[in-house]
Formats: sequence, C-alpha cells, structure tokens
Amino acid sequence: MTALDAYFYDGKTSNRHPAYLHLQSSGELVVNWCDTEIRHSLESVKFSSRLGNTRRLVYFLDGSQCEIADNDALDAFLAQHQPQASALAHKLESKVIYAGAALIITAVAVWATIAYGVPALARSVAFALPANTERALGDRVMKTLDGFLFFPSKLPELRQKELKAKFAQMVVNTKPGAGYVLELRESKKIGANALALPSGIVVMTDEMVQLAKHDEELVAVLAHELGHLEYRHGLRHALQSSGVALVIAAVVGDIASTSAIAAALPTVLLEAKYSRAFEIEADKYALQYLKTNNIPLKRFADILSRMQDKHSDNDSTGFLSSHPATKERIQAFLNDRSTGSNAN
Amino acid sequence: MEQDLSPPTKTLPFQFTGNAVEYFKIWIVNICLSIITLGIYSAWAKVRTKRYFYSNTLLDNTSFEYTGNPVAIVKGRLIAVAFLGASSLAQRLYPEIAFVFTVILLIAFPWLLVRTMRFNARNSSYRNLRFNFTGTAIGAAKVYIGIALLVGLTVGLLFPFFMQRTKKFIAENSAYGTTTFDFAALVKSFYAIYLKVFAAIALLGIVGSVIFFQLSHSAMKTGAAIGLLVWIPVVLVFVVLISPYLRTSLQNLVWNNISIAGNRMQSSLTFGRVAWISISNIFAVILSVGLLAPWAKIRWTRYRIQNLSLISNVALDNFVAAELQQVSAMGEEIVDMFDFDIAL
Repeated sequence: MTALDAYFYDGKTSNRHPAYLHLQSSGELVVNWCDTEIRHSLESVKFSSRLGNTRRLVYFLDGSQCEIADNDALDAFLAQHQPQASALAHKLESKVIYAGAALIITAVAVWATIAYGVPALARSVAFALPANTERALGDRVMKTLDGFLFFPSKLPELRQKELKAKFAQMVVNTKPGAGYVLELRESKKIGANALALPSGIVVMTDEMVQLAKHDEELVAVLAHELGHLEYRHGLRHALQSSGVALVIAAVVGDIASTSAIAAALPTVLLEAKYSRAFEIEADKYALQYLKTNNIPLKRFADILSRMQDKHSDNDSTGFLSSHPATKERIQAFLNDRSTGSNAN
Repeated sequence: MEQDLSPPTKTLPFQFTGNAVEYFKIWIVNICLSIITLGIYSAWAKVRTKRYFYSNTLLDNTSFEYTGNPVAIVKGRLIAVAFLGASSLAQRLYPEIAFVFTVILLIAFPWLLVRTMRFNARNSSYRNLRFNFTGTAIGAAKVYIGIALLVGLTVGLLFPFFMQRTKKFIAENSAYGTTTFDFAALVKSFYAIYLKVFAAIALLGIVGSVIFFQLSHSAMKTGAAIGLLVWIPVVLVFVVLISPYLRTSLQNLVWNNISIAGNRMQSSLTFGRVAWISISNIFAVILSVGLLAPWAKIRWTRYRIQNLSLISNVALDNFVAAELQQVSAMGEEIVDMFDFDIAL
C-alpha cells in the first residue's frame, strides 16, 4: 500500500507536522504524524476538488486537515477506493479540447450579444424611455457645436422661413410632443451636410441648401434625418456603446484598470458597424416617406451623388465615412420599383 | 553564559506557482459555463478563481486556502440584485421616495464594508487556521464617511491622511487566528507619495494647457484635433509614469509596515518593473481582444507575490485559532456591485 506525503494541521494552532496518509484494505484512512496515529473511516473524510495543480486538502471531521502536494498520486489513490464524483469542473478545465470548445462558445456568445443582443435591447429601452430623456443630451451637443462648427445661417430670412415651414409640414404626422425642429446653420468646416441631434433638432447647413437643385431633394435629406429621430438613433447609439463596454468588461473582468482601457477599444471599432445599420434604417424611412408623398425617389439619389462629388475632393474621412458606401445607397433608391409610378 | 536571546531572523519569501496556460483554461471554462447557465455558475467561477490564486500562493511551503461558499455568494447576489431592482423601480414609479434607498445604502454602507472584509478574512486560511476581521461598522463609518467628508471639505488636502486611515483600519482589524496585525505606516509617508503625484499631475495639466493654447492660436485648426494631439500624450505620461509610481510606492509602503507578532512583511516592487508589466499587460490585452487577460493577471500577481516576504523571528507554529461564526456574503456582493476597492 502506497503512502502519501502530507502536512498535518490540527486546526487549533498553526502548528505544522510532516505526516503520511495511507489507506487500509478495511477502508480506513490512517494518518501518521510524530508519534501519533489516527484512523478515520473513508466516508467521514472530505477531499478538496482538484483545481489546476494546486495543493489538495483532506478534511477530517474533527476540523483537522492534511495538505497534499502530489495531485496525481492522490487522484490515483482515490480512484482505487471511490469513484470520482465531483471532478467535472477539473475535467473541463484540464483538457485543451474542452477549453477550445469553451473559447468558441464564448466567442460566439459574445459576438451574438454585441451584434444582435445589445442593439435589440438598446432599441426596446430607447423606445420605452420618455421622449424628453435625450433632450438634455441633444441640447448640450447643439451648444458645443454652435461654439466651433456652426455659425448663424446666411440664407435670406424668407428662404429660412420657407424651409422651416416645409419641415413643420413633414412632421405633422409624427407623434405629438416630439418637438422636432429644423435649424439652419452655416458651416464651412463640414460643408453640405445635415444631421439629427437626439433632442429632436435637425441641423441643415447653408451649403446643403445651396447644393440642392430642387426643394424635393432637401425634403429627401430631411426625411432621412427624420428617420434618425423617429428611430431614436441618438439614444440607441449611446446605449449600445455603453452596453458593449459592459459586456466586454464582464467577460474580461477583474484586472480593473487594464480591462477598462482594453474594453474601450472594441467599442470604437463597433461604432462604424452600428452607425451603418442606423444609416440604412434612416434611408428606409426616407424611401417610405418619399413614396407616400409621391416624391420621385431619384431626388435622394441625386443629392447623394452630388454630395459625394463635393466631399470627395476635400475630406474623405468626414461625415460620409460612417455611411454605407454611397453608391450602394444611391442604387437602393434607383432600383426600388415597388411603386413604379413614382420613380420617374 | 551570555546568549543572544532574540531568535535568529529568517526571511521567508512568498511564492506564486500559478501558470498562465493552466489559468487560461480555468478562466475560459468559467466564462463559458457562466454564459450557458445564464450567470448562475459565476458564483462558482468566482470561488474557483479565488481558490486558484490563494492555493498557488505559498509561504514556507504551505499554500493559502480560500473557503468561500458559492451558495453564500449566490444568496448575497440575490439580495443585492433585489435591492438594486427595488431602488431603480422606486426611482421610476415613485421618484419622491427614491431617496430613501440612497439613505438606507448610505447608512448600511459601513456595515456592508465590514461584512465584506469579514467574509473575505474568515474564508481565508493558512495552515488550517482562519484569518479574521474584527472591525466594527462604527469604526468603518468614522473612516469611510467621517474622514471622507473631511477630504471633500478640504478639497482633497486630507486625501493622503484618508488613505493612511483606511489601510490602518483594515490592517489593525485583521487577525490571523487570534493574533491581530500591526500597521506602522505614518501619515507623513503617505503625504510624501501623494505630494509627488499631485505635483506631477499639476505640472502635466499646466504643460498640457499651455501647449494646447499655443497650438490652437497659431494653427487655425479645429479644437478637437489639437485636443487629441495634446491630451493623448498627457494621458500616456499618466499611464506610463504616474500610475505605476503610485502603485509601486503605495504597495511597498503598506506592506513594509505590516507585521504580526513580531514577524514583519517586506515588499520590494520596483517602479521600472511595475511600469513595464502594467503597460505591456494593457497592450497585450487590447491586441489579443481580451484573450491574454488571464496571462496578464497571472503575470502581475506573480510579480507582486514573488516580491513579498515575511521576515520572521518566531516560528510560525504558535498562532491560535479563534472561535468563529460563518458570515453571509451579502455585504461582499453588494459592495462588489458598486465596485468599491477595499484591498490593501
């Protein structure tokens, strides 16, 4: 019968005694230390489960303990006398193939959560929140932008009134109390452009108004921005970004400072993916709007391609970069034949 | 016959035997099982992780042991979730009375802290002898609320004093068996460290702002671009120099001043190594999309533990066990949710 080297601790003091354990054929576990010999029935003894190659502990009923360094010897010893019951976790943790499977499952789960779970959750949360949740956020953004990106519009007073009236007309059918307004601004920095702020403000630049050859083109652009507002993209975007950071932090976990920084990075990478999904959704809204109001779909295609020409010669990393390839979007409008009569 | 009455001192180094490959497998299986069981397994995962790190920490060829019970952790979590759920529901439905929860939490906070420390201490043992924590909620309130308020009133001037008192509170109320720890670090040593850090941060802020204004006046570029240009290096200096300095010097100061029954701790981290390990860990975790997080954790723990030793002048045999009751994990789990750092 093989004996196992161990340390014996009585549980009352920090005294340590070199000891050895052996199992008798009668089923008794015998512990020898100094000149003492104690016998325990095997059923009364508990063993700590195996975890990596860490020391194992044998717990006796009287609170005393043995510490054993040789894991394999102990496992062989146990295998002879009692079937392994609770070693499942160790089995999973010790085999490369299980770890590999766990890695794949985790990767798929994390990817699915980020690609579908977080957007779906953000969507239902955003629609459940009252409309004024985003107002403060949007107002702050507007103030900041007015400081360095936007300047008062130089369009004639009359033209401004006309465009605002047109926009007011467009939002008649949206939920009451949403408070959507159009603001006109001059901005040399971002050029011909329009954006929707979470608070319900749509900003259109003078440059955009001048670029348009037909007012219906502007209506098309405004419909796209209205889509952003109606689908609450601003709030959903904010929720999604923090959701992803949370998921990643939960997985990478407890090396606090490191993971916090590391968690921020994938968020940046995902930004582009998330914004693209929003652009497509807003385009669909615009498409629907144009159809129901009998405006030719090619108006949107026209202004898009003119915007692209304009932007490609100065700034390729600006506003358009987060949009899906503009060509595809233009095609989507030109190809739509579902209500053929309007498309001409 | 003249004899040296003081026993010879012996330096006992702490050893860390964990390895990254082994821990990676445990880590990924933990995450995967937690996902599959919708989070329930995470309590077992937490215990296995803690056990792994405790059991791989050796002093004088005996490992530490973590005995936390996953079921206690699950119960603690349920209570924490119920409390948070109730408070957020109240905020939504009855905003007028939502403050009640904040008040309850504020009053319960010192008590929760003490429970957390007690849970952790009583579930840690060495040589089959448990650690203990005997601090009271009143004692915790004095430090974590009383002194914290003074820090606020003095715009941070008392912060180093606060840090010294928190470490002192934890150390002096901790015990191994029935023997309490002593803490000898002086307030002025904390000031010496923090004054350097405050000076460095102030200098960094001033230099950053000066360069920022110079650049934004000379070049007529957008504020955002210049902001990044200036503040990224500033943040980098902070990560590369200041944060490792703070980590190194605080860790050394605290551990070098802890003793128990005449046995002194000694920590000899060096700034260069700490800086190198933390920076390369950050990069490794980011570039590996989190997969190297277990490696990073093992690496940092190994460095920290291997540089810790016990200068012992008595045998470690004579510490005596205390009569202890079990503690629930409620405090631990609530405190965990608020991510409050109570480590030494």
